[in-house]
Amino acid sequence: MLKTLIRIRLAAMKETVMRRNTGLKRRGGRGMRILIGLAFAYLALCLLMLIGLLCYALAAPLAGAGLGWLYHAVAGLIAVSFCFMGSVFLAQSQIFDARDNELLLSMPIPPRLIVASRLLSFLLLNYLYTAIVMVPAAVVYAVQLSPGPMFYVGYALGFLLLPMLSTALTCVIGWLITLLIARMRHKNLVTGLAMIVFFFAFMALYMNLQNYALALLQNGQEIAAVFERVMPPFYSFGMAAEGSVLHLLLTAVWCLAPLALVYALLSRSFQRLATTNRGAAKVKYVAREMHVASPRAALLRKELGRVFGFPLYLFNCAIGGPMAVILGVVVLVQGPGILSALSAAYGLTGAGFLVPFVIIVLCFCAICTCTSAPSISLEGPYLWILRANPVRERDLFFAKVMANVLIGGVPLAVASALFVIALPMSAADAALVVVLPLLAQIVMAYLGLCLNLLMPRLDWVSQAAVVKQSGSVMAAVFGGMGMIAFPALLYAFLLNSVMSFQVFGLLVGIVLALGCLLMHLYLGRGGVRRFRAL
Amino acid sequence: MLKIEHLTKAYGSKKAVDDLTLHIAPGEIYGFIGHNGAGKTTTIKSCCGILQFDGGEIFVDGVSVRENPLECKRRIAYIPDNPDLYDFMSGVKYLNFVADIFGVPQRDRQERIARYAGMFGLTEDLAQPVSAYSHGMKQKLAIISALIHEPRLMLLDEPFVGLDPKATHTLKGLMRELCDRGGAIFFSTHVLEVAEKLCDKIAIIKNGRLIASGTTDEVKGDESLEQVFLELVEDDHA
Repeated sequence: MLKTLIRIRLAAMKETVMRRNTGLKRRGGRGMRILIGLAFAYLALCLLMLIGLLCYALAAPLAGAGLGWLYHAVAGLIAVSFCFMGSVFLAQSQIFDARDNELLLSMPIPPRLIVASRLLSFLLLNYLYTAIVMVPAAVVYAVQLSPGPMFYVGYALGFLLLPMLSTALTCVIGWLITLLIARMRHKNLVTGLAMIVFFFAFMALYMNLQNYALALLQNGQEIAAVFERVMPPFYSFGMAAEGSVLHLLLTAVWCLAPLALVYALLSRSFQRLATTNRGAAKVKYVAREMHVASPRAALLRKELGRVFGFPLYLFNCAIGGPMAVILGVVVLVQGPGILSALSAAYGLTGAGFLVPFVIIVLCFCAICTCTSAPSISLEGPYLWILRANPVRERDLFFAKVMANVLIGGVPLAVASALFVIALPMSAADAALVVVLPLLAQIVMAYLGLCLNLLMPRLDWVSQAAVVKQSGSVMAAVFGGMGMIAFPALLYAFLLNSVMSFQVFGLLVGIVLALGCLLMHLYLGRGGVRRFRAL
Repeated sequence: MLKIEHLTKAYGSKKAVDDLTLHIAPGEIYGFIGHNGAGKTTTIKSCCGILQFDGGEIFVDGVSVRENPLECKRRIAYIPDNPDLYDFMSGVKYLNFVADIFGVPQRDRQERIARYAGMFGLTEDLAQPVSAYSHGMKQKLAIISALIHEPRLMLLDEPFVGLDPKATHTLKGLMRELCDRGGAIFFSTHVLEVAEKLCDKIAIIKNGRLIASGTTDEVKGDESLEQVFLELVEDDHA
């Protein structure tokens, strides 16, 4: 029975990832799947490379200082943190609020088997996350230091054990988060903000890995003492990888015991957890004067409500705004030095590259806000409301584009103003810093909507899959990257000797505005036809 | 009020509705019955402009659904068999949204929401998010949203599914009231007892084709509607 349950979970996960999530018809689906596969492979390669380089810098010095175990302990800690951040928000939807909970509970299946199948599918996901960190760490260590066979035994068993610890932690914290957020009034917004905070925490960790590595090399002994005292599971794992059988047993205890405890607790209380209404206290309706709006304004409000009412949507398609504002504040606080350092880091040492660099950064934030790209697909089961009521397609398109422009454009305008205040630039440069990212945002809004009309996916099972994996979302992001990369490369390699950046920026602005106009015209004719044919 | 002339709609090579003609006059409650997959929902969705049809014409108050869908939609209300409503909105926000789309003046919308929500016992739950509603509550909300602009024609697909007996009774009363004011109702149902008692006229559809239509008395004769329906379906199988 357990095997069947696990097979169902895995099939569901496979379905979520693979099943025509792109919205393309069969003919185009294969190409898009290859493209998505390549994008994921690229991402995994980048992560593997980064971790590999970090490990390369740490392995020999730490081993030389007699702290080889610390190297493994740090790898284990990063892997567990990675698992935790990657899956803590999945605990709610995959375990406590899974859609098939009540169906399975109604069947003659012991709750402990349902819990076991949930935990095992989580564990598999965590093995994937762990592999991204621990495989390059092991390869680097093996190549650099040629350890004995006990390293391989200890490390391999540790690799099998550590994800159990992260699975237990994820379940407990995920359950607490679910419980806490469910009692809040604006739980969707809070969840969205929590996801964004986690994202930035993850980014901060990612960006500072080199600094942490340096600190580790400089203060190895102190950090080792902290690990030994405060983080015994990782200390034990480190020692196990160095060949200690006793610590291998201790690692097993540290990892198996929490998982067994979580399994026992969840098994006993699963039925209650899965069927208890954890919702916020019931709000009694009190009649108030109603706000009257035009159909356009009502549709716009609906679009904004959907974005802010669906944390994953906010997190996946509207991260650019907060990103831009945070960057603007950082630049304002730290002064122009930070951008000079950044542009020097990317090889752009000339002062003339500062403004283009700022514009590229802000335009990148603009392409990270594309709420329009899955917006038609998200209508899915609700499409009848727009179809049965007297809604003009143009009003609907306006609402979808405008919602995107407001969600991305307002923070971008704030960020641009902060950059203009913080950095020394001419009036023409300042105008470009303000106008070009805003135009890029408008292009993204139009592009996302046009692409979603061309690649709709209305028969979705999970909204999350539409937001995270639709072909239109991916195509919009890739298109946006092209929108940044093409003019940047054109100017850097061809036109910088022919015209000033201000003139080039003006030309780019005109091209972007023309692009918006063309897409606007398309939406008015072809777009309307496509929408009616959905 | 509603004229369906030679309506034809196909999905691929399968004709879901085949040359269907029906006229629904003001004041009539017109029941539409048929087996699962007979073409009832397709017909109703075509009438309210959700589906584009392949042949024939549909007129609402003399206005062509094909030529002027927006004008038709302003006069009608549609309730699907399984109303998926925006679950990120609260009940009252959804009703206000629909009122905005139809341009219902503020005083009217407030009065109608209060009246209909009171009738269906939904007032206290209007501040709750739609995601917290049961199927029956969603159905009630969809009915209130359909009534908010005082439509002349209502197209209802299985409107009684999920409703409690009191709400069913209320809805039947509202349907009769609307028709008494000169409106019309075209609705599908599998509950033949309800159709028999409530409808002025009945149409029976099988495999996309109309096999019987007329006043309830004409269609059922001396038998019960259930018997007539089963005989007609079995005749066709024979």
